[in-house]
Amino acid sequence: MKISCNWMADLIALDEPPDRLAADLSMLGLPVDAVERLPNDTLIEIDVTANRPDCLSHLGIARELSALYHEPLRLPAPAALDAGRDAAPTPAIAIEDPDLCARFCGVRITGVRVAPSPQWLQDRLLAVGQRPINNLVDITNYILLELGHPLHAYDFGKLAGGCLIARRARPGETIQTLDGRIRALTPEMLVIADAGQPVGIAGVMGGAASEVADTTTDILLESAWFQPASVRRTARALEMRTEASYRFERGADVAMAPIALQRAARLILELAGGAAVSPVVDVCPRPWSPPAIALRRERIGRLVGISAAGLPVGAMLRRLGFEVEAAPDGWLVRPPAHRVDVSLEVDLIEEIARLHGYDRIPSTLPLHPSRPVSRRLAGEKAAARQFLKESGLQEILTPNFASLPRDADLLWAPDGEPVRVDNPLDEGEPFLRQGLLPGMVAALKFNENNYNADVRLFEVAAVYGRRGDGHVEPVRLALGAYGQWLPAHWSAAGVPADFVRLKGVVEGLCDRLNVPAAAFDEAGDAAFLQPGAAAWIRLGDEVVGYIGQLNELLAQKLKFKRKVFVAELLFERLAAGIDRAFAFRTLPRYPFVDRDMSFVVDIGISFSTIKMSVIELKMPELAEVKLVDLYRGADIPPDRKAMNVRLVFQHPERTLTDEEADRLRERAAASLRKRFQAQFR
Amino acid sequence: MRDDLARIMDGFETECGAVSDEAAYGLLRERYLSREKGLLTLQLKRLRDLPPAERPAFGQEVNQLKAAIETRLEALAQQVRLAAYQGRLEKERLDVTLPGFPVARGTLHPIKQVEAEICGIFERMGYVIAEGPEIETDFFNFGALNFPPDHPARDAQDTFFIGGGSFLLRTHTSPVQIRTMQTVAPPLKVIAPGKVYRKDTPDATHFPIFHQIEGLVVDEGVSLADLKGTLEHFARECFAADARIRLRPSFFPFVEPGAEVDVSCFFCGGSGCRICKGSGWIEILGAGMVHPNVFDACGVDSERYTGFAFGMGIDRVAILRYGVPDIRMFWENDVRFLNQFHRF
Ligand SMILES: [Zn+2]
Repeated sequence: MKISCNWMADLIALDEPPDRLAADLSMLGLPVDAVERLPNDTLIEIDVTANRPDCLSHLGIARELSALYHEPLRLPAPAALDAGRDAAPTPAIAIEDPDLCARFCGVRITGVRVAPSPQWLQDRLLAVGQRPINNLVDITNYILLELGHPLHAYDFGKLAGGCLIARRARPGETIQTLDGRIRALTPEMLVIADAGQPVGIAGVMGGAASEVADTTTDILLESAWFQPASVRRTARALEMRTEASYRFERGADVAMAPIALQRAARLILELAGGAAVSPVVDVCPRPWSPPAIALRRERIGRLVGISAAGLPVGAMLRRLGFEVEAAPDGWLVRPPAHRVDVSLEVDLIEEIARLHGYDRIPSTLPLHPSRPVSRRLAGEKAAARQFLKESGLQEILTPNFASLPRDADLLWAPDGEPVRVDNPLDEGEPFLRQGLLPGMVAALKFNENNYNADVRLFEVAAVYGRRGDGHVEPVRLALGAYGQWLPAHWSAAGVPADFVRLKGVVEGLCDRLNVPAAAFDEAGDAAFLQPGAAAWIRLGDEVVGYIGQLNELLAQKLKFKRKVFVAELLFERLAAGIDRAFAFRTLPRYPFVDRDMSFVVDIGISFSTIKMSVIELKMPELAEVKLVDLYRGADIPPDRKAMNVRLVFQHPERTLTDEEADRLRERAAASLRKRFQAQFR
Repeated sequence: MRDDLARIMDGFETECGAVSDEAAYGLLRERYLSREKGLLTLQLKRLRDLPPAERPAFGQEVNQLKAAIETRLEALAQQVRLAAYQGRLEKERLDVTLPGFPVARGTLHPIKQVEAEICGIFERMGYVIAEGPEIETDFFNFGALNFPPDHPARDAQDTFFIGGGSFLLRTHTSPVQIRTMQTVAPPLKVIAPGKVYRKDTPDATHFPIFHQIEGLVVDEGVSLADLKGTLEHFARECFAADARIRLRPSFFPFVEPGAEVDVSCFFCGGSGCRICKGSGWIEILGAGMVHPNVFDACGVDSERYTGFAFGMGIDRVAILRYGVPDIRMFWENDVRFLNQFHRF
């Protein structure tokens, strides 16, 4: 809303310079976006909040300043219309639906001559950015900007039956609006109709058929109050937004309707050659009566944190146009019709507080306690993120919107049905993501495109699914890396970001969270992972994640130049495996003995198979099975591999002898020879 | 024979002088003290050739000589080891300016860092963290927060709808206020960080997904002055030790009285600069006293309890703090960008 200081001077005498006005308006709750200096005027641009339609005019701003500065308003003289002229016939006006139209005022003016407005009027409009059109249109715009009330002028000659009726549209009715478009109307919409058909959409836009033209001489001027929610629903349904609808949907001033009408009619008589004017018709089936709001002095002090004892509460509210009468513990207050935002005691308390000045409210920092609020897995999520960060990965944040066809290749184990956004920003991405891998892969690709050679990323975030009537938002954890985990150093070779490195991170994470049962086995059936370099992460029978190299054919399709390694975990499922009952175990009192087994086996026999087969021998002294070395090379057949496995033995009650340790090793070796044809070296 | 012993001692002294390393020391020790062919061993063997009466005296002299040589050798050994150690020091001297072996450096996302920092400030004031779903209903996102149906206040929050409008992506973290008050009775002092969504076309200052943090305090006797004091403390912890705040009346349907909260510009200290557009103030928060209609929707007695609520954009704080020119950089995840944020 642009306010001209010159125009304002008509309504209130002010000594304050524009910058001071702007600062004071901001502190009054009317934030000033800009102060613009013109050669002989200054414009103050105000960003009026949705609750203050009464401030969408010069009068509205003048009222606020009047209350702040104790300066009386200079209201435009109440307009007794010129009785010296011949009276025009009284127009017929009716309201069929008083819920949607509480007041409808009209006046007929004949002998009008449409012409350009006088220069002063054009200048006023131009100053606030309104293009002058002709005297009739300009006068209605002038009233809108001055008093905030939208008016509409009809060409009386084009109204069938010479009447106006506020009624709901009938099924199948249409109207051509002033912008030339044909609009289909529904019975939810309030229209202004003549004896036959709609001639305007109430509070939104007039119809083309009754539009005032250059040749018009006989007009009917409308000034009404329409129900805000109805105007908003109608304007939204028709995808229209006009100056009128903007004000009516926020709440127009029902008391202003006849005043604005009379002032407009007077200006038309003065400036547009009106010859005769009818009596003003004022149809008001639901006369407005202000709510009586009890305001307690004690409540002001308690809510604002100031002492209300010395505040001139009654005087402050009267300055804002409220009617105030004393009550036993405070006041009974009636707001003026333009304050559609005030209906409760707290609304009045805000008025007191803002007029008193928010900057005069003290700052206090008292102690209030809180009951506990439970959160799911908050500590675990924080621990996982911290661990991954300390392990050298970088946390990323990826957008939640997804395309099902694009991401289909990278989607694993969706929880529930995809969630579709009704009105997506990008029609190509109407879904909420069901997995973190597409975002991870996009982040890796973005980095590769930006010549970042070594990249290690993680994300802990929700994914989304529809289940029955509701939704689920499970948390997942994704890892992704390519290039070197640690670059080559003058003292050591580089460490590549590869399967083993990333697996170490996942194992470390499980260790950090204390999920002892997490196990890995080869994932032969994950299409997006590279065969032979992919593993499921399991808790017992349940797959809770995967880790592997991104399938090379897929990576080529995505234009990756490097090998990419990724992992994704169902965080809640993994967390279900946290051993929360762990307890202290007695420290071993006797030294351990270790024995190595060096052997060659078939390449397909996994370390975990070897380890499990030793564990299954249930030797009570066995404490640990470690892989010390793995070798494949020229001196070994290509379908075989050499392993060096270390067995650690420990007896709880005595030191094991060398002979006992040798016997235990031999049991394990015999089992490997028998089960896997291991050749010992 | 006594002359032999004197010669041996003289020769030993001379040879000691020539010993410069551990190998020569070993040979010297061997030459004199070897059990079989050591020079002193040979002298002891000569005892047999002496008349029995002379044996004890000569034996004693040989043993005295042996003790002297052993003492001297001990000293020599220490001398040789010290020389060897010093020689090694020189050989093993490092260029301490060479770069150390690197540790792979991880980072938390800058927005999550700011989120953690803000949560920390309020947790130290006794707030507890609360959470809520991102897919919400109209009731929690609007209705219970005193946004009437068909009210223009909804325009400010362009909403993504789901399931034909029966669900939506929350447009603010304020629904967590409702969910918390519905399940936990006052007194309450909570902070709720999280993702929120508004249908904004991405540009340098807009992204359809961003992060907010919501605060709520409900108890008997909570006032607007308490809100002011709380946010002042927050501003001093988060922005600058001498930060000031300014409350301006404003409108959010779920609070009354409502306020916009400015923090004194932490770039220019309030004298006016490019960042604060010359005003000396930066708008950071929306806040106010919990609206009685919100209490009613949650079953909290609005006569007995009062409360305040506030909310701020985490992304906005991060942008202002770090001078990030484009909000989209937070979502691109370029490691060169992320690498700059390694404070936490
Ligand atoms: Zn500044």
